[in-house]
Amino acid sequence: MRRRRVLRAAAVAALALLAPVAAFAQVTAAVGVSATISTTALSIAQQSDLDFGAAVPGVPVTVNARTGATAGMYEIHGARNAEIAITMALPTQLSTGFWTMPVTFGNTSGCWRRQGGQNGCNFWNPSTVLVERIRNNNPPNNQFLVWIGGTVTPSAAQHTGVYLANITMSVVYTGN
Amino acid sequence: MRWGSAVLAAMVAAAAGAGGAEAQGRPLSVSGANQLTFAAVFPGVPEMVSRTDAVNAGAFQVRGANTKEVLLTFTLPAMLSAAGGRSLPLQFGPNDGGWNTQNDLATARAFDPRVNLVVRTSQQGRLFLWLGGTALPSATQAAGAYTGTLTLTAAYTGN
Amino acid sequence: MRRTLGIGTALAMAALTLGPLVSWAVLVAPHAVFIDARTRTGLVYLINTGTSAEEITVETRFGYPDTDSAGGIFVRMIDEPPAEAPSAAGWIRPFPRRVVVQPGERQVIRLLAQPPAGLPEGEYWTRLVVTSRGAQVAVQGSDSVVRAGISLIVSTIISVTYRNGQVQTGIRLDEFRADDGGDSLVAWVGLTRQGNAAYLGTTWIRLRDAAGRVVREWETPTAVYYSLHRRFAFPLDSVPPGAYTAQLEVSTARSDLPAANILRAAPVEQSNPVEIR
Repeated sequence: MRRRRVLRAAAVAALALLAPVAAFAQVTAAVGVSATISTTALSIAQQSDLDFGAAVPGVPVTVNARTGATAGMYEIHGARNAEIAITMALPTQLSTGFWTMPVTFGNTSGCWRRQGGQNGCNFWNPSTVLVERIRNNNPPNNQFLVWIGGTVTPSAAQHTGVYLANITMSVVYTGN
Repeated sequence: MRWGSAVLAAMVAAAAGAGGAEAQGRPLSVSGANQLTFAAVFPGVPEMVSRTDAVNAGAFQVRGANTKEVLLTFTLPAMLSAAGGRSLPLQFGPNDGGWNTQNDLATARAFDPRVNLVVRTSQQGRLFLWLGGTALPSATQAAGAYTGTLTLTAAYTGN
Repeated sequence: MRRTLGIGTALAMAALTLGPLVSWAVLVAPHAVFIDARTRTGLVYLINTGTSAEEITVETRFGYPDTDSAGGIFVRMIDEPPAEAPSAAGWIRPFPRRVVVQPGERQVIRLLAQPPAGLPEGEYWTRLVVTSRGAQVAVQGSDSVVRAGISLIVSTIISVTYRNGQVQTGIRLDEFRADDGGDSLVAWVGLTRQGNAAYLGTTWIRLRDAAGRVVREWETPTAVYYSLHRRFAFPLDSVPPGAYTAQLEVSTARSDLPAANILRAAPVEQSNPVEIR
C-alpha cells in the first residue's frame, strides 16, 4: 500500500515536470503578400526651361529645338515600343499686363529622339500631331525625349517686363 | 485520492500554472484575415501600404481566453519573389503594425512588427492585428506579379 | 546717349518657358481603366516623381483614336458629343478633381460611375485628362530689372471604359495594301469595329521572302472604336530587292492590358504580294 502511494506520487510529480512543455505551445497563421509591378504607366518629366533670355526690342529671338541650349526639354516614359500621340497647344503671343509680344513655332521648333543627346534629335513642327514610338526597352530606358524652341518677335517699342504664356503638351497612347 | 483523479489534477495544475496553448478550456488560435497587397507598383517608385489601409493591409485575428496575455511574433519577408528568380525588396518600420482588442482599424495602436508584441486579449478573448509595409522596386524592376508569405505566431505567456 | 540707349534696350525679357527651374514629373497609371456595371468604380494613381509640388486637375472628355485623310492617327476629343454617342464623360466623375501632390507622394483618383437609369447594354467611353502644372518659380527683382516668370502645363490622357451588361467586339477588314515607298514599306489598313464594344488588339505586319521566312515584323497596339483607315510606313533598311509577301494579322492579343479586360474576338488575316525595288 505504501509502495503504491509512493509510485503514485512519483507519477504525479513526473507529469507535473512534463506539463511545462505545453506552456510554450504556439499557434501560427500566415497570409500572402503580393505586389504587381507595372511598366506601362505614362509619365512625363520636365528637365529644363525654354528660355528666350534677354530680347532686344525690334530683334527677333529664335531658339532652335535641336541646337538651342535654352530649349525646353521633356522626358516621357511609358510602355516599351508603345505608340504615343503628342499634341501641343501653342500660344500666338506672350503677355505681361496690357502688353503682348508675338511668338511663332515652325519646322525647327520641335525635336524628338528616343535616346541620346539633343544634337541628333529629329525636327518636327509642334503645331502638328507627333505620332511616334516609345523606346523599345525596359525601364528606365523606355523613354521618349522632346525639345521645344520657338521665335519671339519684340517690336521696336516693346515695353519692358516679363512676358509669359502657357504651352500645353498632351500625351496619349494611340492603342487604347 | 484515486489514481486517475490525481493524474488529472496534476495535469490541470501544470497547464494552468505554465500558460499553455489552452487556458481555462479555450484554445488559442490565430487566423489570417487579409492579404498584404501592394496594388500598383512602378519601377523606381517605393510603394507604401499603411496599416490603416482597410483594403490592402495584412490582417490577422487572435482568439483565446479572456484577458490573457499573449506573445505575438511576426515573421516578415525581406522580399517577394517572381518567376525567373526575380525579387522585390520589402521594408517594415516601427509604425507598420497596428493592434486592437476590437475590430476597429482606425483606433488600432501602432507597434513595431519587427519585434515581439505582448498584449492582452479582450474580455471576449479577441485580438485584431494589421500590418503595412513598403515595397522598394528598383528602377529596372521587371514587370509582373511578386508574392511572399507573412506569418504570425502566438502563444500565451501565462499571465 | 549711350546710357539712354542702354536703359532703352534693357530689355523685354521674354520668358516663355515650359517648366520651372526645378524639375517636375508626374506619373499616371494605369493607362487604361475598365469599370464594370457591378462595381461602378475605378482607380487611377498619380505619383509625383519630381522635386517640386504639382498642382493637378482631372476631368473627363469624350474621345477616341481616329485617322485623318492622310492615314495619320490621332485621338479625337469631342467636347459635346452627339446624343447617340456612347459617351460616359458626363456621368463618370473623378474624385478629387483638383489636388496638389507633393514630391514623392501619390494620390489616388477614384472614378465613380453614375450612369443614367435604363442605360442600354453596351460599352461607354471617356478619356480622363490629367493636367499637371509645376510650381511657379518666385520672381525676384525690382521694377527696373528684367524679370522672368515660368508657366508650364502637361496633359496626360488615358482611356476609361465602362461596360454594362453583355459586350462583344470584333473587326472587319476593309482594306489592306502594301507597297514599296522607297526607303519604307507603306501599308494601308482599313478596319471597322463590330459589336458593341471597342476592339483592343494588336496589328502585325510581316514581310516574308519567297521562302516564307519573316524578314521584318512590325507590331502596333490598335484600338478601333469606330473605323480606322491607317497608313503605316515601316523602314526597309537593308531589305534586299525582290518579291515578298506582306502579311497582315490583327488580333486581340495585348501585353500591356490586363487579360481580364480584353474582349476576345476572331483574328483577321490577309496577305498581299509586294515588290521591293
